[in-house]
Amino acid sequence: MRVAIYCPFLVSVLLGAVAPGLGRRLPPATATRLLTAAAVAAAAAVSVSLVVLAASLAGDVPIVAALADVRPAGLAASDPVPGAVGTAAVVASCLLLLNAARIGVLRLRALLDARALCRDVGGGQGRLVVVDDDVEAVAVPAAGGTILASRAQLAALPPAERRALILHESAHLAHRHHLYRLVTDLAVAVDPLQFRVRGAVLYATERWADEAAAAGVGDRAVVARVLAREGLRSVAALPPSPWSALAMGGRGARVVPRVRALLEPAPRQRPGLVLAAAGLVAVAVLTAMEAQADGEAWLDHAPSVSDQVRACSGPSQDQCGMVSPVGAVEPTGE
Amino acid sequence: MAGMSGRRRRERGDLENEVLAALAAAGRPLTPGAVLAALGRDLAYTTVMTTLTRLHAKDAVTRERAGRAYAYAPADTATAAARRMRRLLDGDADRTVVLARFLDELDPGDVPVLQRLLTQAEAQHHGGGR
Repeated sequence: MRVAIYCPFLVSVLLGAVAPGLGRRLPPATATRLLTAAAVAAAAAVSVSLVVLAASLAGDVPIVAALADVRPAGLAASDPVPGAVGTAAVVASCLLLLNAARIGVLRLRALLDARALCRDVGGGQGRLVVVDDDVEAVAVPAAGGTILASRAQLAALPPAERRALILHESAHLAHRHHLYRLVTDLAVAVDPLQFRVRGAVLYATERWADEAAAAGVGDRAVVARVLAREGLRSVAALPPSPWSALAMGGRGARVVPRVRALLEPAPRQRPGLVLAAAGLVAVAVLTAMEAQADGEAWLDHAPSVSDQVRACSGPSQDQCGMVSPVGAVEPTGE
Repeated sequence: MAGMSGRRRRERGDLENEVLAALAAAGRPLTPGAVLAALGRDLAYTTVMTTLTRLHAKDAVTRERAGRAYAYAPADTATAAARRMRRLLDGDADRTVVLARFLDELDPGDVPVLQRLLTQAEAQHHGGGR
């Protein structure tokens, strides 16, 4: 438990480190699914570890110890987790929970705003709505989906590229990319150590839509052209400000790699990479489960003040009541 | 089977959107023949005709007599929506999680690279586009 319990944190850092590479090397649909699943599993493992660490501190608090009917001094003596780590875990758990709630509310509000907008412009059911003002094309995942594009943008493109643009946005809606993005976003809110997974999934969903558009048009170079053309147009349309290069560069300029990827051969499936990533996350999940079991065992076997606990420390210890404070805390991490 | 019909429905929706985009890009009413030309790809005239009729039934396009045929134009575009849309996009950068923007992010320093890639892509196309 002393080492295993910190393993999920290490795995999250590693997952964040390899996520952009996986997003580039794997076919985008595979990358999106793999990274989303990995992000959720890694975040769950980290949460379990955090709660176990936090619970170890709870054992030091007299009132909790009294509830659990164990002697605080005895618990502290056998505590495999330093008190400072336990304190940090409690603080971190509270902050992360608040952060996840805040992110959840923000995203929900954005979805509701988008839905209201779609309703007002008569969108829905995957319909294209053309707006007069020159704004960037966007897929809004509300009311069956709406694609918004500007008249100027559509008029500036040759037919094949116009079609590619529409197929790209349509693919976002058809494959529900916003759900992958939302789930990863929340996983990262709970487990910020893997923060780079978020950008990797955003990129992978864009690439997924690019490849879907390429398949629909039957020519990957057409999608590369529309991306490059629109990119140049948007840079020309936006007056450069002293800080814009910094701000945009900081978030990662990703149009260029998308164009490059379309001009290169389509990425092949790489089962080895998928397996390696799955294995990495499996380590986190298994170690978290082990840490949780160890944590329970440690509280169960701590020196007690009453004979009742000793009498109960057998196969039927679940009914003894002393497990309940721990049991009440831990499921929240899952 | 359900997947198949879902896919067919989606393809139909994509074609409707393609026709709407062509009408919007033209900026004037188009006859079915002109729409077919504006789509710039191999489609049957009747396919375009059917799509236009369906769009008209959904009130997505208006039509007026132009000689023996009808000329079609997009129904009123959402002028007022543009400002709200901009606010939706620019108000909070994190909304890209919910809304999939076409261009994502771009660094002005990438212009020369993009220009080179565009030239490369234009050289690479094999008959797909114009």
